[in-house]
Formats: sequence, structure tokens, C-alpha cells
Amino acid sequence: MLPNVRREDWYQTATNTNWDISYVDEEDMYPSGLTGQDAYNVPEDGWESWEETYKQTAREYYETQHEKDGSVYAVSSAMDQSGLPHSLGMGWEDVLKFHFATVPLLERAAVTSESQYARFAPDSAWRHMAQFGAMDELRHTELQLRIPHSFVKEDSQYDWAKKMYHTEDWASVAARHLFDDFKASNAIDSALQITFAFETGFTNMQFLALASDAADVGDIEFSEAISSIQTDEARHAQQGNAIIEILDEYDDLDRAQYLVDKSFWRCYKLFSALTGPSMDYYTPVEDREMSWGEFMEEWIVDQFLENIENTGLEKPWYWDQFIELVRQGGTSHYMAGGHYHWRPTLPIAPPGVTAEDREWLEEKYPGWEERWGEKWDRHAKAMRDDDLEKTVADDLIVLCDLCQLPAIHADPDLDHNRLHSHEHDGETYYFCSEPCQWIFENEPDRYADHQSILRRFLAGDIQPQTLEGALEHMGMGADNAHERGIDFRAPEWGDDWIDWSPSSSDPAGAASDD
Amino acid sequence: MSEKQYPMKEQTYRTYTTWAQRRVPTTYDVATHRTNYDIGERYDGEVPRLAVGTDQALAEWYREYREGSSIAGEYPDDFDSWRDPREMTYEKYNDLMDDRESAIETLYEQAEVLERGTERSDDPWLDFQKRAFLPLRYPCHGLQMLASYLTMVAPSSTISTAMTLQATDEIRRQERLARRASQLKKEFPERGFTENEREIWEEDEMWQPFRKVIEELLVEYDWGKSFVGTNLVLKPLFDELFLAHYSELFEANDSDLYAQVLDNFYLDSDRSREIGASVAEHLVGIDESNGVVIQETIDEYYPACEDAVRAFRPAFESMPPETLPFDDVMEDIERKYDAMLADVPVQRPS
Repeated sequence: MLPNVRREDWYQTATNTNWDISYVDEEDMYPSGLTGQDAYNVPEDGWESWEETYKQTAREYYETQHEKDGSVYAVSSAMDQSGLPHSLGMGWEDVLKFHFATVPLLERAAVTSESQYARFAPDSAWRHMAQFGAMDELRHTELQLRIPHSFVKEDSQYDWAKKMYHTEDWASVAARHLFDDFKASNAIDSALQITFAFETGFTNMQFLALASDAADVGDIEFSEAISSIQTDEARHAQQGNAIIEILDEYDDLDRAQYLVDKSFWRCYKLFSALTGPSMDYYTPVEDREMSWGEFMEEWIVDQFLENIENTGLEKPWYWDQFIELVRQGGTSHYMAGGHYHWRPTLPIAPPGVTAEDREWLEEKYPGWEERWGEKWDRHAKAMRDDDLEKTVADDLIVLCDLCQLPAIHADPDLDHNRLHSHEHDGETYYFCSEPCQWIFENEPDRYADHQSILRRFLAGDIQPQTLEGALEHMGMGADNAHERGIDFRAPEWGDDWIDWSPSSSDPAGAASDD
Repeated sequence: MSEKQYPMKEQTYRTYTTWAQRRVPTTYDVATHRTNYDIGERYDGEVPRLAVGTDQALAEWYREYREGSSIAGEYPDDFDSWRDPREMTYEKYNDLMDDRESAIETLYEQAEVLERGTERSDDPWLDFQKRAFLPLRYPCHGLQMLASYLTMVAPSSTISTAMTLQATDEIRRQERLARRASQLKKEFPERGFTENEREIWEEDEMWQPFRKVIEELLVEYDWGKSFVGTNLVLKPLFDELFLAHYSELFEANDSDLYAQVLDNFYLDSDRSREIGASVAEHLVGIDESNGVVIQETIDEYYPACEDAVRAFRPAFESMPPETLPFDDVMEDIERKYDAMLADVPVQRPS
């Protein structure tokens, strides 16, 4: 019998399997467009010191993941007859619908990225680790497609869990624009954006903060599933730090800094649009543990700063305006209003805000009432006047040519929040913010070809050129009309506001930037 | 326009509408069918369906090696209709592999308790392992890279998923082999275990034909040819040699324990062979011309792989203390190979 050995005795032998290529051209084997070595100044053998902090073997992986799946699916099947999630109300269902529509197929796109690292990353230990990352992402796809699958029998909007990214819905376009931007890169660039900014930075929000809301609401199945997912993220997200350590060693952090600045901002914008309204508007008010802004400050801002400080990187250059935006939650409030106004474009049922909501929002975001209250007053009045159509948009708005979200920012009174524009090759491009413009200007050729929904409309790619034509383009045409978003509280919620005194007496004037 | 009715709750579905077949989808179908959104055309007719400029490296890569593959078929339906015959989901895979790895641990525990003479330690046997066995972790890494690449470029999420799992099969071998090398190093510190395998892999003439064909396949970027070269040529021959027949060698040399470990790895190999044949059959079903491409790719890589296998004749006939006739090994490998291709209209080159 051979002697026993501990994992630390053999792990590096297992993962250090680089060899010198001699039968084919090195550049063919590791093409720079897919590996990224040419974009950095690390010598070839410099990458061979790549090392992740928390190691896991295949043996441990199978065992742990088997157990984790066992727990999640056990809870899930125990909840089979519980009436969840439909019994929790349509507000909470909006949170679920939004989550499932936007998350599982992005996880599947991450399988592709992790597999790119598992093939083309410049070191074998990294490739080895990335393969477990690919497995994790496969798990998350599977789990988050299996759970909502049974829900489609009760509510057709859950169909978007599988369908969303196959459509040209604006939310699909915006989320793909972000993820494809990260993904369509060499392995090093891609991993810095996906594992460092997206996963280390933001998945805590989607998986832990939301799990805490889910637990409060009583959605045990969802809470169990997404907190289990986050335990995987924490492991494979380490890749980003391991890369930055090597870049730091060779004093080569400029590109990483650029990519982190860019991707962190992009993530903030997208999560503000999708997760922010879920936390501040759709989770039932009595179950909201913290506001989106509070979660951001505690879970993202502080942790991201800590992560940054542990590396040789610096805070992004836009940090001050970012913090101001986080405190006001501007993008999130704006998007919640947008979801409501353009609700037929979304597979959720966004409700009008109640008196309790408004008190809560004002408490969490002082000044909310003054800034946003009148818009909801106007919708409420239309409801009371039995003029529901007036609460639904019949037009399109200017979209940011980078993030694909509305290009009118939270607070048009502030200079840096005004619509930005930039000329490139004789074409004018519009941006919601200075950082989005900065990202575009850094690599205009990367972004200039992409057509926002508005550009497609103006170019005549969307026919007929009506809102109905746009809905058809977005996968919400006549055949899918029953999947379109509605206000599930309408029209009664309008009655809540009969005695309300709006802070602005000129609701018409507020319509312009909505 | 009345919103009181909750139309989304009135008109519902029995399953995801991306599933157009009459058959009720299984858990496998729900989890793996049509999950790669970048496969197919953009609204403006561009492929792949990526939201970045069409001249970006990844977009160009897909256009050339996925959509531009020599394998014919309409995206995404033709390829999406392939299903893993074992319906391997992530959950099922980990369950299975946890069992397999636990079984290996049980083997070790039994051997320890029963104090069986599980290892011989004479020079020829130690030399055999160092020179002819332990360098295997390098080509296992090569096979992992091949499967990871196929995960990235496969034309359907179902094929891609099967390849993700296959890549992880290779990792478990790589790790077990490293562990064994480390055990041998601890027991026989002067013999260069763990330290010499890279050099053997890079320079020993016995390994060179294998290394050459692995490197060549790693730059075969056309998804279809990469798949055929990997799952229908290299991997079935490689696994048959190093798992099935090395297991016999270990047994013949009184190393029953590791013979059983190799048999345990071989269980994974059975799945990969079935996937290889099943995908090939599916591709021919899409378009008969795919049969020609598959045959040509087999013709291109089989001779080199066969030579690579034949280079291991000394590992059977002269290196270990107890030898086995290599001609029998070769004959069996060919027989198994033909059996794998039984339902596919292609042949082993004569």
C-alpha cells in the first residue's frame, strides 16, 4: 500500500500541466485574440505562478455539489404542493419573474466564457480552476430553469426564463449588450470583467441580498436556491484576484484598471434597472429588509472597496458621482417608473405604488416624493378617470448607445446627469451618463455597430413603425399579448390617492422626461 | 383595456414554449435544450447572435469555426434536436461521479484494512509507471482542453453540455494520476516521480506520436472536425489503451487496486463513446454530406492516432515485469472501435 498523501502534497502536481508546444505553432495553439497575452506585459512564464486561494479537488467538488443540489431540490420538491410562489402575491412574483427571465441564460453564457478560459487561459492551473467555474455556471443554468419550469402552468410570464434572451426585448438587448461585451474578449480581459467586476462585485446582490428578501417573504425554495448558488460564485470568482496579483507583480495594471472601471459601471447600470426595482418596488413593502441603496452601500460599495484595496487597483475615476447615484437610487426609481409606463414590454406585472410604498420610499430615499411622487400621482389620476391607456406609453424614448437603457438619467437638474452625446464617423451617439460615454469613446469600433431598439425603429427595421410593431419585434406581439405586463393593482390603486396632495401642481410638465 | 383579468394567468403553458415538440420534455430537456442564446442569427441576419461589433475576435471565431464549420446544418434547430442518450444533467452527473469517486475511496480503504499486497515495487514496475503511465496527466489535460473548446463552440447547448461534463471527467483522472505520482514520490523519493513526467511527455519517443496528434487536434478549430477527431478518434483509442488495457497490465503485475481505479475511469469513457457515435449519427441524419466530412476527418486523424497507440508496444511487451501481447491489445482496440461505429455509416480506415 502506498503512503497516503494530503491534498497540498499533490494539488500542484495535478494542476501544473503546462508543456512546451512543439508540433504546432504556439500562436495557433494560443491565438492572442482568445488568450490575451499580447494585451499584457507579463512574460510567458509569468502566468505560471497563477494560483487561486481556495482550492477544491474534483473529488471534493462532486461530493459538495451533490450535497448542495440534494438540499436545494429536496426543498424544491417539498414545496411542490405549497402553492408557492403564486400564494405570495404578484408583487413578489414580479421579483421572481424578473430574476428568472434575466439570470439563467446569462449563467449559460458564462459557461462559454469559463470554457474559453479552460481552453485558452495562459496557465494550466487557471484552466483547471476555470473548468470548475464552467461546471458551476452549468449548475446555475439548470437550477434556475428547473425551478420556474413548473410555474409556467400557472402563469405564462415565467416562460421568459427560457425565452427572454432569444427575443429582442429591450431588457434582453441591454443585458446581452453588457454580457456579450465582457464575453467577446480574450480570456484575460473577459475574466477580469466577469469574475472580478460582475461576480465578485455584484452577484452578492442578486443572490444573497435577494435571498434575504425571499426568506422574509417566505419563499423558502427561492431563498435556498439562490443562496446555494452564491456559495459557488464565491469560489470561481477568485479567478479575477489571481489575475490581478500577477498583473500587479509585473506592474501592468493599467488595462485591468480600465476594464474594472468599465465593467463595474456597466454592472451597476444593469442591476439598477433590473434588481433595483425588484427590491424597492416589487418586494411587498412589509418584507423589504433593506432598500436597494442600502444593499448597494453595504454589500457592493464597501466590499468592492475592500476588494480593490486588497489589489493594486484604485477606485474607479467616477466614484463620487457613482456614490451620489447609489444614495439617491436614481436609476432604479427611474427604471421602476419606466417599467410601469412601458409595462407591455416586460413579462412582469409591475404595480402602481401604494401609500405604504411611498412612505417607505421617502424614508429610504429622502427627497423621493418631490422627485418622483408627481409621476405616480399622474398615473393615479388617470386610473381614477378610468383612463388606463394614459398610464401606458405609446412612444419610444432615447436610449443610451452604450448601456441600452433610457438615456435620461435620474436627475436632469444635475449637470453630469444630462443627456450626453458624441460624434463618431459622422454619426451622433447618445449616452445616459459620462461613464457610458467614456466607455464608448475608448473603443468606438467595438460599440458603434450595435443598433439600439430606438435606432432599429428609426432605421425602419421595426415594422410597422408603431408601438405594436415594436412589441412584435420584442417578442411581445399579438400572439404573446397575454404575456405583456399589466398593473396587477389597477385600477383600484388609483383610489388610494384621491386625497393625496401632490407636491407639484403641474403634472403635465412632469411628463416630458418620462 | 381591462387589466382585472390577469391574462398571464388565464392563458398558460404546459412547458417552456421554446420546446416545440409534442413529447413532454424531461428534466434534461428543460435544463439543457436551447440555452445558448448566441447560437443563431441576430435580428439583422448577422451570425453569431452577439451584441458586439461583428469584427470582434469571438464573433469572427464563431463565424469561421462554428457557423462556418464543414458540418452542414441549419442553426439552431438541426443541432438543438440532438439529445444526450443518457440525459445527463449537472445534478445527475455529480451524483454519479460522487458515487464513482467514493467507490475509489472504498477500494483504498479495503486494501488498507485487508493489508493486501497491492503494489509491487521492483525496479521494472516502478520504471514502467514513471515512463509509461504517470505522464498521462499531461494528455489528460490536453483532452480537457479539447472538451472545453467543444463546450465553447458546439452548435447546440445540448452538445455543449455533454462536452462540459466530459472535460470534468478528464480533470478527475488528471488529479488521481497526480495523487498517485505524489504517493510514489513519498515512498520512493529518489526516483523522480512528479518531477520527471513533463520531460518524458515532452521528449520520450514513446509519447511523441500522442503529443503530436493532441497538439494537432488542439488547433483543429472547426467544431465538427474537432469533435470527430476528439470523440470519434483520439479519445476512444486513448481510453481503450490507457484505461482498459492498462488495467489488464496493472492486474497482471499484481496491482489490482489501481487496475480497478482505471476500470472506474473507464466508466466515464463509455459515456463519451456513446455521445460520439450518437452525435455522428445525428449529423448524418441532418445531411448525408456530413457522413463524408466525418469519414474524411476520421481518415485524417485515425492513422496518426493508431501510430500513437502502436508506439506503446514496449509498454506491454518489454517494460513491465509481467508482459501482455500487444497484438492482442491492438486487435481488441480495433474491435471496440468498430463496435462504436456500428450504427454510424462510417468506417475505420483500413
